[in-house]
Amino acid sequence: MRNFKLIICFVVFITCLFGTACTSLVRAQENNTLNVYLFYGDGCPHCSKERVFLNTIHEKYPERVSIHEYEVYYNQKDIESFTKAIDHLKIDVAGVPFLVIGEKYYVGYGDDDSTGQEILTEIERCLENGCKDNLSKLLLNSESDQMVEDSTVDGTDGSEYLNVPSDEIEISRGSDVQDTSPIYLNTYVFGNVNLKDISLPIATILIGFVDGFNPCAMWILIFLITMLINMHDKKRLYILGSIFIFTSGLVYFFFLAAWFSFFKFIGYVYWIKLIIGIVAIVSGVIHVKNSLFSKGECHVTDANQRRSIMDKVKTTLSQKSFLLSIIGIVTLAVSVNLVEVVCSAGLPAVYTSLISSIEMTTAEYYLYLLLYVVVFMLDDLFVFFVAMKTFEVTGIAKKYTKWSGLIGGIIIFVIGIILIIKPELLMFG
Amino acid sequence: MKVLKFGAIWCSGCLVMKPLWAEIEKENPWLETEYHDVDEESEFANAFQIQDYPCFIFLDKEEKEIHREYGQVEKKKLIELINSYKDK
Repeated sequence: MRNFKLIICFVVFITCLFGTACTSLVRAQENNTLNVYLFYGDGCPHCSKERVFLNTIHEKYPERVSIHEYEVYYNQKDIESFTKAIDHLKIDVAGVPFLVIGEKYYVGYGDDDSTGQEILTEIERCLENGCKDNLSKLLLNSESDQMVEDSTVDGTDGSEYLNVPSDEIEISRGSDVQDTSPIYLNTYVFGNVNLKDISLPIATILIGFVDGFNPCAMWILIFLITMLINMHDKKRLYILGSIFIFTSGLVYFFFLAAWFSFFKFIGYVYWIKLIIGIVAIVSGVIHVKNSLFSKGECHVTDANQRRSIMDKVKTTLSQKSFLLSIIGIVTLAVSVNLVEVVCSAGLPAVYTSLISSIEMTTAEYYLYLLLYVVVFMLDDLFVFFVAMKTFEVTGIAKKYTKWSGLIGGIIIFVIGIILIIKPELLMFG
Repeated sequence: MKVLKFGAIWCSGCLVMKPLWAEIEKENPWLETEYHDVDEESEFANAFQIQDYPCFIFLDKEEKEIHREYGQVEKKKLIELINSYKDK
């Protein structure tokens, strides 16, 4: 009987022990939150997107996810927190946004469907299974109204949980949050048009147009068409001319796509934004100066390089086999355009940097790049179609390019200034 | 007076100026002009130290340079120049 009482007492003790543990475990899970640390820059478009996305996560898990934000462009205290965090995590982070969830961290932010989903998955994994919180002791102890200990959010190992008051988990809204309110312009013809909807297409057309009128690539097309006209072979003119223009456009499209991928990959880095801003300012000034003072002169490449390209064109066109001529033209267009893209490296960099900071679908990004290339090729297409129609080669008069260069140059200049001072203004609609 | 016109077949500005000069020459049959392709006659062009094209050099009766213009020049301006140097 005594043994039975002992057994009962033991069972009760174990039950109480487990019961207490379980009760405290459940309570802990209910009361505590997962800390997410976001280091961002005021004015950084990718940061803005990530903050908006994190807000939606917070709305989904208002009691369980606590988002701590640190502004690292202008706020000295937060810069120190950022330095402490990356030192503590022993990682090298060059830019923001920088997000830490448990033991995982994310540098940069693509869009809600890519990076956003990764973040959401990790947060839900931490809420489900628990994650070690490496930064709470380091960063949150200084926040007087938060009772935080270096701990884990874990429902299984019985370690301590974070206890953050619910009024602390609101995400603060900075000035860089995207303003999506429309700005209407009554066009009378098309009715009310949202300026934010048309600003990016207009910017694309203007920058592409200005970029298209660089003398580097045009002279080769003119030379090629002249040679083809001199051969008195319309079929060759149509086919080889089309192939040259198409290949040139394709090379430029890949060139733009490479710039775009670069900016998407690196995300938002302040010094790169600064360089692109300076490039845009310099490019804008050059285009404005050329529009005002240039007399439409041609001064392209050095004489030896020019002769070498001209010889290649002549050799290609003298091929008896039409197939060899086609292969030669494709090779020529690729090689020449790869060299000549250096001429206009500034504008594609500015443009792709600009659109990479705007939230769109992947298809929309590439459609804009396509629009840029089509506009970029307009002068070539004009010269080619005139040649096809009249069988004479023509140039484009300076008077037609002057105003586009002037307006485009001013816009590029303004983009440069904004990129440096207040880049969130360029997030368009 | 004589006008030397320097250009190249690949030069867009030269192509723009070509029909304009054709008009001027038709309207002023007395005007003596010479066209020089900078690729075909590079030594001759180098003698005039030409860097940009098109380039139009006005020579007097003694073949001395009296004026030069670069780029796409308006027809009105060219006619003014021609008339002002007509007797030189």
